[in-house]
Amino acid sequence: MATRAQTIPTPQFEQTAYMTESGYVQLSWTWDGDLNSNYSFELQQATSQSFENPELIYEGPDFATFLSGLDNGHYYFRIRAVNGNQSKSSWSSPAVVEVEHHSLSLALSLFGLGALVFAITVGIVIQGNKNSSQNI
Amino acid sequence: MDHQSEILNPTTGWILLAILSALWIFLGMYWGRKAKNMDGFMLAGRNVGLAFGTATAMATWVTSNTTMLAPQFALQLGIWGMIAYSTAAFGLFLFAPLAKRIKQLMPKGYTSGDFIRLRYGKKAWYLFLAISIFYGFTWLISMGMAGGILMNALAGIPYKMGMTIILLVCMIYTIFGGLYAVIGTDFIQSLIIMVGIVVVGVAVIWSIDLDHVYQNLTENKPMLISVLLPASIMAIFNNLLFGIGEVFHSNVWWSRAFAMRKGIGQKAFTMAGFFWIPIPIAAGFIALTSGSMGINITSPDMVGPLMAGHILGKVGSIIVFIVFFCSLASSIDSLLAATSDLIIEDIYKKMINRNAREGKLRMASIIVISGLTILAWIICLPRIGTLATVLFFAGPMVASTIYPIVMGLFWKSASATGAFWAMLLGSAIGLLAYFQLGWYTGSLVGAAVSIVVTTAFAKWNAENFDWKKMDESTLVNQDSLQENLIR
Repeated sequence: MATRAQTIPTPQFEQTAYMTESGYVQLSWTWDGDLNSNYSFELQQATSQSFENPELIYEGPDFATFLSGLDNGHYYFRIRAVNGNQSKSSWSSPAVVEVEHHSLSLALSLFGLGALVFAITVGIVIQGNKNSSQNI
Repeated sequence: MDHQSEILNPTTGWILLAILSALWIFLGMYWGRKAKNMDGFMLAGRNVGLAFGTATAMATWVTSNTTMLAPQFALQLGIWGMIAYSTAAFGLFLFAPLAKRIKQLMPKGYTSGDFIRLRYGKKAWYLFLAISIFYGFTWLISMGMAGGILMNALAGIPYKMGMTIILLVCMIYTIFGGLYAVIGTDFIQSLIIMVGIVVVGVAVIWSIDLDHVYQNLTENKPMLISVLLPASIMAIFNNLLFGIGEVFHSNVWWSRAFAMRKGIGQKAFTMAGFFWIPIPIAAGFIALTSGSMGINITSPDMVGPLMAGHILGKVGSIIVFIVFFCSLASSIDSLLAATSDLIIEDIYKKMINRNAREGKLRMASIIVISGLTILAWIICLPRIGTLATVLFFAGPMVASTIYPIVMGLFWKSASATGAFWAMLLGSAIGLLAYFQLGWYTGSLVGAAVSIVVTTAFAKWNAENFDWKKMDESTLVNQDSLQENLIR
C-alpha cells in the first residue's frame, strides 16, 4: 500500500486555515495528477486534529466543496486522491476551519434597527401617497 | 475555476444556447421595429399597459438575483436567508405608490437622474449618478457572471464562452429595439419563467422526502435551521432595504414608471410583487435539499441550477436551462437599456451635447450600450467573487439613496444638502460595515444613516420646494415663452 500511495500525487488544500463568523466556508484543493484518468477525491471531516472518528463528507472528481450551517467550534479536514483501481494517495496536510458566529446581541440589535428603519419607510410612503392623492 | 460535475452534455447545451440566442435576437428586433424615435427607444412610447407593465416588472426582478442568489442565500444563511431574499418583494410593493407619484410630478421625465437634478440640484445629482451607474454596472457584472456560471454548471460550457454569448445576445437586441424590445421580450420571458417555476416546484415536491431533508440538516448543517443564526438575523432587513434601494433609485424601474400609461404604474408594480414573491421561496428551498441528495456544491452561487437540474433529470435540465437563460436575459437587456438611458440623458445630453438631435442620440445609445457590454465582459472574465459579494458591494450606496428619493418625492422640506450628505455618509459608513461585519450588514447600516441624515436636514435645514419645478416640459415651455416676450 505504501508503494502505491507514492505513485499518486497528494492533493493539497489551497488554504489550510479558515475563520468564519457566518458558519459557511468553501474548501478548495489542487492536484498535480492526471486529469484524464479515472480519478476521484475523498474528503474527510473530524472534530479533532488526530482525525478520530472521521466522517467522509465528499467523494468525487470536483476540486472544491462548499460547507454551511456549521455551529461554533473547530473542524478539521483532509483529502486524498483515489484512482480507478482503488490505489490511493497519502492524506493531505489538514485544513482547519474555526467557526465563531457573530454575537447574538449584535445580530438582534441590527435586526431591531432594520425593523425600525423599515417601519418608518413604510410610514413615509403610505402617508406621502395619501397626502399626494388628496392634493390632486 | 473549481471543477463542477455538469448535468447536460455540452452538445445539448450548445444547441440550446444557439436556439435561445437566435430566438431572442429575432424577437427583440421584431418588437423593436416600433422604436422610431427616442421616446420610443427609451420609453416605449410612454404607452405600456397593465399586462406588459406587470410582466416587465416581474421578469426584470426575476434576475440572476432571484434564481441563483436566493438559493445561495438559503445555502449560506438557512431558512432565514430564504425568507430574507423574498423580502425584496417590498421593493416592488413600495415602489408602486412612488410610480404613481413620479408620473404625477414628471409626466415627461426620462430618468431617475432627472428627478435628482430637478429636485436637489447638481451636487447631489453628480453623486447620485456615480452611485447609480456603479450599481447598474455591478448588477450587470453579476448577471454576466451568472450566465457563465449557469451554463458551466448545467452543460459544461466554458464559463467565458457562456458569459460572452449571453452578454452579446442581449446587447444586439437592445441596440436594435431599445425599451420596446426589452419589454416585448420580458413579456414572453416572464411567461416562460412562471411556467418553468411551476414545473420545477411540482417536481421538487414529488421527488423530495422532507423528513430526510430535515434529518440531514439537523445532523450536518444544524445552523441552517436555527432561528438564531446571527448572520441570517442580520441579513433579513439588510436584504429588504437593499431591495428597496435597488428599486427606488434605479433607472431600470424609473424608466418603466415613465413608460407606463397614466394610472397603470401602481397596479403593475403591486401585481409584479405578488407574482414574484413565491419564486425566491421555491428557488431557495431546493438549495436546502442539496445535502440530503448527496450533491456536492463547489460554489454557493451554483446551487440553484445544479439542484434543479439534478431533481428534474436530463430532460428537466433543459427546462431549467431555458428558464434561467430567460431570467438572465430579461434583466441584462433592462440594465443595458436603462443604464444607457441614464448616461445618454443625464451625461451626454445634459453635460456634453445639449443640442444633440435624434440621430446623434441614437448613435450615442449604440456606442454606450456596446461600451457597457464590453466593459462588463472584461470585468466578468476573471470571475472575481460569488454573485452575492459582487452585487452586495453596491448595497450600502444603493440603500443610502432610499430617503433622498422617497422624501424628495413626498416632502417639500427635504433639502439638497441633506440628500447629498445622506448619500455620502450612508455609503461610507455602510461600506465600513460591509468590510467590518460582513456583506449582509452594509445596506442596513447605509439605510439607517441615510434616514437619520435626510430627516435631520429636512427638520433643521428645511426647504420649501415648489413641485412645479419637477415638470421640465412646463419649465422649458415657460423659458421659451419668456425668451419670446423679451425679444
